[in-house]
Amino acid sequence: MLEVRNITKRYGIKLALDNVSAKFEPGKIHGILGPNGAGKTTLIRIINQIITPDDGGVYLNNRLMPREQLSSLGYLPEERGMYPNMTVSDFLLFMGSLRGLHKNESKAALDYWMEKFDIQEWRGKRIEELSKGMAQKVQFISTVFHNPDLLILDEPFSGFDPGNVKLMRGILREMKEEGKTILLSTHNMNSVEELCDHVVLIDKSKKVLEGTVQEVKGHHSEKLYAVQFSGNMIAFATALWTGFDLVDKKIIGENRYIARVRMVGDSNFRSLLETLVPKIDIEGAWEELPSMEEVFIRETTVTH
Amino acid sequence: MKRIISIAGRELNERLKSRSFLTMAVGGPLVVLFILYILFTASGGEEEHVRVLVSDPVETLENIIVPDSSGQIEYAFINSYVEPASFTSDPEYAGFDALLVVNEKVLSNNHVFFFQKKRLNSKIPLRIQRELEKRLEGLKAKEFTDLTLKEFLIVKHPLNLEVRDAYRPEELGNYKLAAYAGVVFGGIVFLFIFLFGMTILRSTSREKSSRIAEVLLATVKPGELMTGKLLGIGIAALIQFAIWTVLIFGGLLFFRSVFFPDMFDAANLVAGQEYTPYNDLVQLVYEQLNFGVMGTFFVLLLILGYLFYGGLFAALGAAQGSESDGQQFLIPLIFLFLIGIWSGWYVAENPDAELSFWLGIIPFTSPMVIMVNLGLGYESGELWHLLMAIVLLLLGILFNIGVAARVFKNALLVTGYRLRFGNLINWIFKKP
Repeated sequence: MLEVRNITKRYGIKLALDNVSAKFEPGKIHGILGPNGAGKTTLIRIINQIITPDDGGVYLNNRLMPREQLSSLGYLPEERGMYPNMTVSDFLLFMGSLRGLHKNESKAALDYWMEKFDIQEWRGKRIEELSKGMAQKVQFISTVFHNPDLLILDEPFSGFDPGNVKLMRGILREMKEEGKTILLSTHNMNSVEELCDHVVLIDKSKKVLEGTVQEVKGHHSEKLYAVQFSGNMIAFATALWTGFDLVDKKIIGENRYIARVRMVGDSNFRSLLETLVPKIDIEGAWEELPSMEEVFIRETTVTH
Repeated sequence: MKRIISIAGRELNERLKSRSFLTMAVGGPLVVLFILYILFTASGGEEEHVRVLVSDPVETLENIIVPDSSGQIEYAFINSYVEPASFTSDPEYAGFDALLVVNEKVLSNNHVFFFQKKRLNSKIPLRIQRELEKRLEGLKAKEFTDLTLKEFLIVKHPLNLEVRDAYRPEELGNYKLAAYAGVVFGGIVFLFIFLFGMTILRSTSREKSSRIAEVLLATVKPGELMTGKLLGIGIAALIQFAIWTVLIFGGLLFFRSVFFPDMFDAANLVAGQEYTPYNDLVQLVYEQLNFGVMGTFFVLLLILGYLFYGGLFAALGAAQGSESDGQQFLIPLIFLFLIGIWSGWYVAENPDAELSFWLGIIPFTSPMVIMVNLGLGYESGELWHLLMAIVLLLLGILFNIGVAARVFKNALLVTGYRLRFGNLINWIFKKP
């Protein structure tokens, strides 16, 4: 398991990270979230060993991560960079050799990924000849080319059309199933909800939140439940006289509604159901959790 | 190490495939050969045929001046006074290149005028002077002594003062010219260092601005990246140098066989031969320079000088805020190169000056000065100078690469600024 422990980093007088700790289990996709300038890139660069922390360390299976481990790390930075004069295959083979792949392994990986992305005809093209989206694909391939155990992706979906986003999400899920540790830094909260098992939210150089997506959302629960029912709306509202607040309602058919109810005082989901069952026909009921976007805005706004 | 080799391989590959590399590999030696050809032929001026009209109104010379055996100078006599104005305008004199005016008082005042229509090689008037002197000496000997001309020439006993090095009396040649050959070699070393140093700078700067540096640094250490870059571009420089060597040597052999075929013909090396048919530079290149020693040190100094300066170029490339930023910081580097080239000239002119000693051991200038000193020849007691210069250069390389690696590491991922001197100082002293 990858772990960052008590990481502190200063740039001159500016504190970039303040005593940040987090655990990243293998076989999971971890979201590293935070507003611009929060310290995400610094944390990623410290994990990559591009920069060294002033305090704390990066641990792998409870031991300080050795530099050799970097050859099994794939990193896709937010600002993409490649050698424009190189051909696609030369660039990928070069990146493979840097990550310790033998020639034959590199050639096999090249064949695999060219086929997987169906871009066989790009092999001999120079990178400067590619469109932005095509270049993004090549950059992504260069990140996963050597089949790394740890993958760090900074805004991996930017510049991709929806079809390619779907393809890449599929690849990330496959890699997760293979037991790889995937760190995803993004501002796209839909991707976080869809892909991430676990998130770490950093704001103003401090970790402000960590947990599974459900845990984080639960932490921000407003005790708001939705009830889908058929029956009399007046009877429904009357039943909620004490202990509950009717927030809003939506008509979905003749005498059929979805109403949102907030718990007051000691009320809970069980007491809500016990109150309503004698009065209406409940078709469904669930907790309305905030979206990750709402959580993000609340957390980063609250601390500002 | 494998990663360094991969980076070096990529750099080398990129250089070898670039059009500018090929242009320089072929064009550079051709330019050098062309310049050498001009110097070999023009500076000697031996091919020039000159017709001289001798205006001798009172027939002092009795219409006789004996030219040398080369037949290069031809004299024609006119026993009247010719004005320079009519010499240049009168069609009668159109076939003459120069006018030698010998007036009636020449035997007493030793004064003659020589008017040339075009700027002749500087050796031609000297030869005309010598031949005229010889003629006048003959006339004076006849008029004032009872000696025959032959006897007079024996009495006159002209001397040929041959300057040689006291420590190596067996060596022939023009030492100043050999020193300047060292300046040329040193200049080529500096040219290569500068050209390939600029390649390092641009390559680093491009990697920084294209953000590939961040991807690379997630796999390799900054020191490995810089070393790989220095190595790859350095090998490209050596390949370039090898091509230059082959082409220039091939060209020199071609020149010898085509333009100077009789130079090494034993028949021309008869003792006491009065006239050498080729100029000093030809003699220097084909006879005097020790290409084995010069070539060995040329390669050694090219490598050491490249490593000494290369790190600084890499650091400057990493420090640039953008590809076009930081050009002003090249000026101090260019200034160092100019001092290096000036130092070569200074040492060639003042080999025994105290400053020459210091210029010979300071790493910024020693790659140039060592080449000049090799041209001049190190004396046996001075070999420690050479050794000390090499050791200091090696220490300088370690120091420069250490400083450069710090700047390289600290600056490579920092963007969005305009480079200032303070940034450089900060990056040099900042813990990576």
